[in-house]
Amino acid sequence: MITLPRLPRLLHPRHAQVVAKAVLWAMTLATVGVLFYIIYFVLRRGLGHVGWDFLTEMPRRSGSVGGIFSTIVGTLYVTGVGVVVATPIGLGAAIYLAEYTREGRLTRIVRFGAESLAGVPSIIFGLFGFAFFVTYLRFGWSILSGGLTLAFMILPTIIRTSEEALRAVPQSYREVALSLGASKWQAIVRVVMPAAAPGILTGIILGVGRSVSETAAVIFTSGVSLKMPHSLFDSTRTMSVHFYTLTMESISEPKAYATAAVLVITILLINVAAYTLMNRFTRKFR
Amino acid sequence: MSGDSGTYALVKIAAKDVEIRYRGKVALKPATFDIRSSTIHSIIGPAGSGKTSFLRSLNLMSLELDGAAIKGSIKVDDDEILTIRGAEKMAKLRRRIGIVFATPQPLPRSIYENIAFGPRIAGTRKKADLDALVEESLRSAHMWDEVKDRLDLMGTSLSGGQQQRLCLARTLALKPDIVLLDEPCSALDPISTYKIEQSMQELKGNITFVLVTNNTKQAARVADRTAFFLMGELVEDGPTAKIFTRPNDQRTGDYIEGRFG
Ligand SMILES: Nc1ncnc2c1ncn2[C@@H]1O[C@H](COP(=O)(O)OP(=O)(O)O)[C@@H](O)[C@H]1O
Ligand SMILES: [Mg+2]
Repeated sequence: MITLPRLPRLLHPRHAQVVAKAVLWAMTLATVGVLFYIIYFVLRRGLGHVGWDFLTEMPRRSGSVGGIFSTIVGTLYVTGVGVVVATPIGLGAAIYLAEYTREGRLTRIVRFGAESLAGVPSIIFGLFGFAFFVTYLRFGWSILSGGLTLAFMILPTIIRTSEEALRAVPQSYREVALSLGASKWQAIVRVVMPAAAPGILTGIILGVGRSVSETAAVIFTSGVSLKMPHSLFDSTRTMSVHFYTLTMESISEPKAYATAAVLVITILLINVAAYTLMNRFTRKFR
Repeated sequence: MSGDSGTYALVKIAAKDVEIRYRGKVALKPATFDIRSSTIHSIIGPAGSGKTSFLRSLNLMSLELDGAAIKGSIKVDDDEILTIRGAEKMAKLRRRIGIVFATPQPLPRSIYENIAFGPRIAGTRKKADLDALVEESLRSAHMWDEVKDRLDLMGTSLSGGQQQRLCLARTLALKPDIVLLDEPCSALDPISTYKIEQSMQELKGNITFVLVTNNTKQAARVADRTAFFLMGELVEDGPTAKIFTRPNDQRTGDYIEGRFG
């Protein structure tokens, strides 16, 4: 048996409690502080260069002149494809998990798979997307390749949040629907899903946020073209990738920070929306 | 209108040797009794006697949702229901046999939409038809005058008593010929309780009511016939007056006089 030397008691337990609380508070404050500092840092350097022109003009000379219009459009398209593909699949999986199976080996496997997918670094998704969509399926660097890659990336988030939202709907709603002559599927579609909608929407919005801010997975799959995309098979550059390129290739610091400012504000708005919905949802059922 | 207990009253529900188990554990020992057409048939007994299990077996909810295994035979209008399987047939059965739960369960939507839910699923689309159904059902549940000007109010924002009457109205909108009620007034104020009892008495000409109640006085007030369940056993069944004054079994009298339960 090894006995640890007892540390001399420095503090009365009651004082230790106070100290612990203070330390924890300081840590929380530091976290929030860092967040605010990042936002402040980016906005201070970038916001001054953001104007209507910046948002609506095409980038010229590699982005050192002009705006970021085509990258905004590119971001919308790539994110759009990702969400449009991931939502039905994710929702379907969530409905299956929450409504059609008992807890068992299968659900554990599916859930483990989804969790693992969530833990894969995004650059691996990028490589996978490049190998599979760009090369093997010959979609090339394109909105389609990028969007599909993002769909895989945000799938776990959408499955998890949707499943939780469905499970939070009181069992009695299902019973009532069945007792009124609804089939199980009608009960899900007409009663359970509407009740879970805010929670499901939260998951989708979080997915949008993740897609908008993603760089590594998209740069390998959608490429870096600054031209205005006209089809799903055109290459495009998202705002995140644009920021990355402007910085890494030292093209223009003001334009880089301006792009970052737009990105940060977009992400903030998306998170506020997700947070508000989530709040409304939890208040409704708890 | 034949709410009597005459010898020739038609049998609406014939339960024969109905045994209900949950994972092998018996919740109701084989029970045999008839529920007559156009009557209010109450089921009384202490908690855990198998009343809810029996009631939820009449529309197969115990089978589908609670994992119950049911043996024996339950015939409704001479048709066996225990062999019914499949979503479509179950849905049809539940439109015929409505249920009101112990705690009011309005869906999170308007009063109007709560009531229109069942008819819509059954295929009623026309606004005029739905309007008429909503009004008729609310009138039957003695609620129309209270809410006719605010049908778009959330059902969940009503008082408990109103919610339960909304649930009754919602069930009535299915045009059922049997309505099951599981301790519908256990959490209600006396006025709402009275209104629900009144509705049952007014409607029993066309609808057979099976009323599980934890309130023996309520059974005495409204039921034509009463069955007494005790610890998973049907102790006896008969005209309410007889059950309450001259029961065959000692235990029935003991329960009614509040000596246990
Ligand atoms: N879903 C269920 N799963 C397992 N056992 C149940 C279930 N529902 C009821 N029981 C059991 O069946 C017995 C009868 O319960 P119940 O029918 O609810 O009685 P009552 O309505 O008279 O209070 C009880 O012992 C109860 O624990
Ligand atoms: Mg009960």
